[in-house]
Amino acid sequence: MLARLVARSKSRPDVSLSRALSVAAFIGFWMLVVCARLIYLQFSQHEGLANRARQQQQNAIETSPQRGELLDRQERQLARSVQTVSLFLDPDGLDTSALDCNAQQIAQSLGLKQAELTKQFREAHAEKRRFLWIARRLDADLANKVVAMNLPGIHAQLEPKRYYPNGSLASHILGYVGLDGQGLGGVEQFYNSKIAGEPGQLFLEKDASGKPYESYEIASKPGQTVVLTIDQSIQYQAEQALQAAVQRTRAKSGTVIVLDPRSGEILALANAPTFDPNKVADAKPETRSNWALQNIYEPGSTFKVVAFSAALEKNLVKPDDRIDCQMGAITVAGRVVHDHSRFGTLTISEALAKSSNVAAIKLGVRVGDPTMYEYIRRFGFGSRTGIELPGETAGLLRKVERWQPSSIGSIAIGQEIGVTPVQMVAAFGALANDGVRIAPHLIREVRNAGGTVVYRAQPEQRRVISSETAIAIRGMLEGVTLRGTAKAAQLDGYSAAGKTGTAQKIDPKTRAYSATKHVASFVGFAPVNNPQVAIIVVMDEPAGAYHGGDVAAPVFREVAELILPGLGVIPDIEVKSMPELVAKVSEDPERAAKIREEQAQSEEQRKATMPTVDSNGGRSGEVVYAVATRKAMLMPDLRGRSVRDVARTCAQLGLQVEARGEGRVLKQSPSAGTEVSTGQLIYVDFGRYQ
Amino acid sequence: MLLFCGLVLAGGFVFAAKQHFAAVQFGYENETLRTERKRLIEENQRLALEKERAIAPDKLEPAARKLGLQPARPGQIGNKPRIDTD
Repeated sequence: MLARLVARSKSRPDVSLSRALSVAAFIGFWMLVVCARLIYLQFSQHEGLANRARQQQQNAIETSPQRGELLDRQERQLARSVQTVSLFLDPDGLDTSALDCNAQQIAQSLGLKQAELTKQFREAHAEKRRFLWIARRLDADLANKVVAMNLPGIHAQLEPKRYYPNGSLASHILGYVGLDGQGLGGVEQFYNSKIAGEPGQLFLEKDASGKPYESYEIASKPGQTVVLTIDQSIQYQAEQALQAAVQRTRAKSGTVIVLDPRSGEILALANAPTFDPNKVADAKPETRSNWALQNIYEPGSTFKVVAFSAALEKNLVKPDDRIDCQMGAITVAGRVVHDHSRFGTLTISEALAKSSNVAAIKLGVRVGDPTMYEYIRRFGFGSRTGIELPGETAGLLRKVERWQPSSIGSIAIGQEIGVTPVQMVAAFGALANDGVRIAPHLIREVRNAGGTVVYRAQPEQRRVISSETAIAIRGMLEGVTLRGTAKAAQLDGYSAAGKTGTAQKIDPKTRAYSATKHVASFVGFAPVNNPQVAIIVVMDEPAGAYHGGDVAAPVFREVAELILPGLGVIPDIEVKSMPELVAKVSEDPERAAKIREEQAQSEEQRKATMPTVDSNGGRSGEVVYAVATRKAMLMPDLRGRSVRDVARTCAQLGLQVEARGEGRVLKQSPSAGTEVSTGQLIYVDFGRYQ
Repeated sequence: MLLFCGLVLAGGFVFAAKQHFAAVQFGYENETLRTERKRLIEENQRLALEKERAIAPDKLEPAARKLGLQPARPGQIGNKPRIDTD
């Protein structure tokens, strides 16, 4: 057998060898081609193919950073982010019936309108879009209902949602965030770059069924934590008191700021009306405005402290010096300003307590325009305080070069100037802090995710007036609460000092002071000798009573009496409980009569907080003109007045009159509300009414 | 010798395959744990939020008043008596 095989192979040796060589050559060539292809793929196509492989096997997801928390000074959370679920549609590979079925089930689960959802799904499908948000930032329970349905093309993605656990509390400080998590108001906006953090990436390796079996993550960088100066409890008490006052007085809006004058830290900043940052879409735009920084108002009598401080600081007067209040009237550059009462000679302290316009103007005139301007600036008016909130305004203060001759008479009594509540409370904070003004601020410190402090507040400090002057002014301001226009600001157990203000608002139609719209304010501090808090209360357009002493001072008392014990401040005067006081009034007729008498006197004194400016032909109380503008004043409405009235009014204003006819005024030129300057010629037509 | 080498090679393959599948299995477990950790963190955040909501002043105040409490009055504030620790 073997011999036969050998013999056969010997008989056909050439054929076998050539076949073997052919096969070997083919295999060798095939291997060469494969190697060449491998080399080509490895060297020329490596990058592209590797990317394709990664795309098929890996899934990269951007991970949202955890937005930093906002804490109050006691480390209580005011804002924090929680992961929520957002749902989106990828219509690729779905037909319209599947889309409609999805829309129906999702609409039922989430309470959405089915027709609208169906339309959106179909549009996305027609446009071959691969991504369509269905609902964003849903609570986990709600989202899980949809996820459990396992609908084709419906996917879930985690997104952080901002929550404000205290609802509307401190909403004007905290602000709010938009749908994409960017800060759109308050500290959220001001510190957005610090709070937002940086996104990370999560890479998932998936098997053939799409199930992830391996992951690695470039961690997101959490936002920084911001610790505010406010105290949640004080903020709450301030908001409650303000809200009640706004309802009680039917005011258009109101503001309360509580400041620690020794550090410049704002303990509370409340506005009413307010809004809930959790439901910012439901809030009216005007409720989101932060009036504490954006509301420019004429401060009225609260501004008198600047003239008094400047005069004392320049040694022009002393608190016990006497000043002639000229029986309640003074003329400045043709403009007559009255006191509410015909004061004769008063001490400087009494003049402030009784809020004499004449005394304030006389002190302003003695101080002089440049010095007055310097002190206004020193107290921080006319420039932003630098508080860490967006939208702060600098107020309205003309440079001294642009002041009119009558300006000093207006500015000394808080007219012809616009301030913000935060500027005003900071100015009184300087008086409370022995003359050193510490810039008001809201941020205590900023910490990174590890808890390390990366920023600590170091507010600007500057001396405004000497310590001696500040102490003297403090004593004078205490007189305002004890004997002056702000008896309603007297505290139980604590001495208090402050100043009321009642300012008329300018009617935008006539550009003259309105007789019905007022801003009532009170700004003060307590206890007098060691002030722990400075508080401003501003009420915009209260209905009914509108004097600062009636409307704003009680709110100051309410807030101060609530927060001073909470701060552990020991009473410095006798503590009287409210029930005891009520009992005394009701049981003692003589005492009750005395209190009524005091209240009547107080009422008269409170009128002093609103400067009455000029009079209509000698009729007291009626304002015929007031506002000083670039041309010093606005043209009064003379229609219907007698020749004598017109002559007297124009003489007081320093206007020249060209009169025609007789009887009552029918026409006037310029018209009422037009800017006029002293010495200007005006034309008045008189006649008889038909 | 050839057989021995073949067995060693085959054993190596089997061991490597076992390691690979074990690694994949650990990968799945790791993913499950990572997801669970994430869920627990989210749960923790939600509970922390609920806690903050529960102790918000507008919830605490009515509850405290219901219990007969009221804000501290000035007369209640005073220096703490000094305690001599010697």
